[in-house]
Amino acid sequence: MRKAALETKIDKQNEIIITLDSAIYPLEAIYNTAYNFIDQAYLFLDGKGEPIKEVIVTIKPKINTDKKELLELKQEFLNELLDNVLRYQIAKENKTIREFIVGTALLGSLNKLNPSEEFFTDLESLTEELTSVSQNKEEDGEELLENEEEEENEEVLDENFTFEDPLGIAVPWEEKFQAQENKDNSKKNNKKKK
Amino acid sequence: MKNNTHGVIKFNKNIYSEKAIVSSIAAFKHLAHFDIQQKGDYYLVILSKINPQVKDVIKDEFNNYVLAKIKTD
Repeated sequence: MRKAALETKIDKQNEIIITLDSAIYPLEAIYNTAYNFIDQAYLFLDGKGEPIKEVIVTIKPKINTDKKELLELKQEFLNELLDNVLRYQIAKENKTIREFIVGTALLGSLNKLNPSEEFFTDLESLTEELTSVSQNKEEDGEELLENEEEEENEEVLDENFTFEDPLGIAVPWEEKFQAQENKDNSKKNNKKKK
Repeated sequence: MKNNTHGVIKFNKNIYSEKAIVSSIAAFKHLAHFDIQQKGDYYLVILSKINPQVKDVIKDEFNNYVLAKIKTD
């Protein structure tokens, strides 16, 4: 029979003991969740297996609490844990794209410093690899983006679209000051002629 | 007043790093005498000569501190 991914119990010493399957709840997510609770409770982690298959979290409230409050604390912890598992998964999925963005930004600044040719060949191969990964992701969201773009274009291309500009912020500099500057110049020229 | 209280904390090697434990010991050394040993999958942190004013909470606070060290290091 398969064991549950999560088991909880409250012992006689008013400690919450949660056993988690590390295949479903990664250790990094458990660390982050435990860290978020160290102001409310004392937390201790233990594990079973090599590599770890089960993580045992012991939560002991810092102040005396009744059973209802203990249950609330346990539920809060489990909700926070789910939140952190999701964050961890998203961070893991987007890792290559994040690295690609940082790499591209660095390349922009390095162009000015004349880097070696070897650097560019390495970067090209990395770019190709990452592009193929990002293309797969783009295809998934392509339809959604197209719909959004169509809606945006409709808004921009609306001929009846007007907006108020009481302070004249949208007036270009040339229109605003060029006429006055021309007047000043012509006055100076006239004075010189006289 | 005698100052001979002691205790042992078992940290799983696959969960807690030695670096986090050692730096936590450095932060708590003014409250007790610490000794660290290895036994199987565990680091054993042996506390002795614990300051009586903190003897009830030092182990729990130490655990939390090590956990925070793992996260922030």
